[in-house]
Amino acid sequence: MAEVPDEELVRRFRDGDVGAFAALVERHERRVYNLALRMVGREEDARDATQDAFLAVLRKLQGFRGEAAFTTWLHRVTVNACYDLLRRRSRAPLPLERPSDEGRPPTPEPAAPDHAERVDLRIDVRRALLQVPEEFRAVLVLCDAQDLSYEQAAAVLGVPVGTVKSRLHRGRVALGRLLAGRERPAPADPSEDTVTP
Amino acid sequence: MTHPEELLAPYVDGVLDAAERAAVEAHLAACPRCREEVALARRAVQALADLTEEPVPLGVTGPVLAEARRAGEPRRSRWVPALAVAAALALAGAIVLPQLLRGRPGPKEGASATTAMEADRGAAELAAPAAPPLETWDADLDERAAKRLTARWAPPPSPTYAGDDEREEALGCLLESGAVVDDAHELVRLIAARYLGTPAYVGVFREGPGGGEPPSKVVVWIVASDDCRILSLLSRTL
Repeated sequence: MAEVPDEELVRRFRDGDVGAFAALVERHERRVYNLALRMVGREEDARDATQDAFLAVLRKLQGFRGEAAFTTWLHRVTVNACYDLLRRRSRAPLPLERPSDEGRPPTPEPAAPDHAERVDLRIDVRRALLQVPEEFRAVLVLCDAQDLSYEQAAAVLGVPVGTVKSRLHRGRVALGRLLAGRERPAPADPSEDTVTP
Repeated sequence: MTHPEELLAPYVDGVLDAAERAAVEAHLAACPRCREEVALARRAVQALADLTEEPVPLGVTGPVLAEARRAGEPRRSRWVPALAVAAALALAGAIVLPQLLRGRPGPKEGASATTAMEADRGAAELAAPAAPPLETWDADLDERAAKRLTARWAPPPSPTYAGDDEREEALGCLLESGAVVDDAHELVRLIAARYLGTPAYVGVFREGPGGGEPPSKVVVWIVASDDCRILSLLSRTL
């Protein structure tokens, strides 16, 4: 059975069908949350940004005229919610928590070593992403983590496609350098006050 | 030497046409800087591709859906919210609400004995931190003021407090809007004021993992007092 298009769900919601909005949220919450998680780093902040984004969607949906695809618009609202949240939190940079400590049952038996490595790598990537300048980070996350095309990312961010391509490259190089720096003893960087244990 | 900035990302992604690719490769052969950058970029692409999708934690979209339900309803007259409040109160369960209304004798509060004693007196709510009274403020809050509420606890210099009926209504309104009051979501302050001109109830919560663990954030819910729709939702990580 063909899926009801987003734009049709938007129309139904505008006509008073609240279930259509719930369907939109259910369909997109994972993308929104993961986009937020990669933009803001901390799980707690990603939860807040996701909630902010969907509340903004709800408020603005009546005015959504469909000039952009719904997903494009949703990504834009989410990126903006992340920027807002990062501004609000700008004084408190991230001791990024390790995942799996709270609220989850302990692993029943020693995890396979490659699992542990993968978890560490993921944290490293997330931590490193947060040190990529925001304007590069958004492009990087949209294109390389959320798999948007250059054109879609350009529409989300409201910049020319050429800008997306060059920012994407700059962002990748920045992230690559940060990841490479983690293998060797990192050069002393007085500006970095989040200490990696 | 000029570097083909805009072509390097598409080159790494393998989406250039043959002529462009040949041009980039000729440049790379002569430019160590771009060669290094391409290697770093490939590494970043791989790392991002290896990130797994995380599931959405519980409780993130619930309040949004509650708000959507409210937005989807026509504006109601005064008695309908009263019914909805009654329903929300019933939903909230016989345990939470009587505790809230009487002053919760919880193991967390060192003063639980006092609390229980004072529950027998009229002034129970004023003394029990687990069951805040409804403060009435003659003030029009904006977002900045709401943010200050996430950081500051002291009541205004000469607070006035509303009666039980209105307090119950404020509680019901918060619950109806999707707020949760339980072990992990402690209601620490309840205020009637205006928010950007709209009469509003404000609930200040301390939220945490529950089970006696310390709270990890302060959340401020602001709902319209006439139909309980969410006007603002702010949080601050402790």
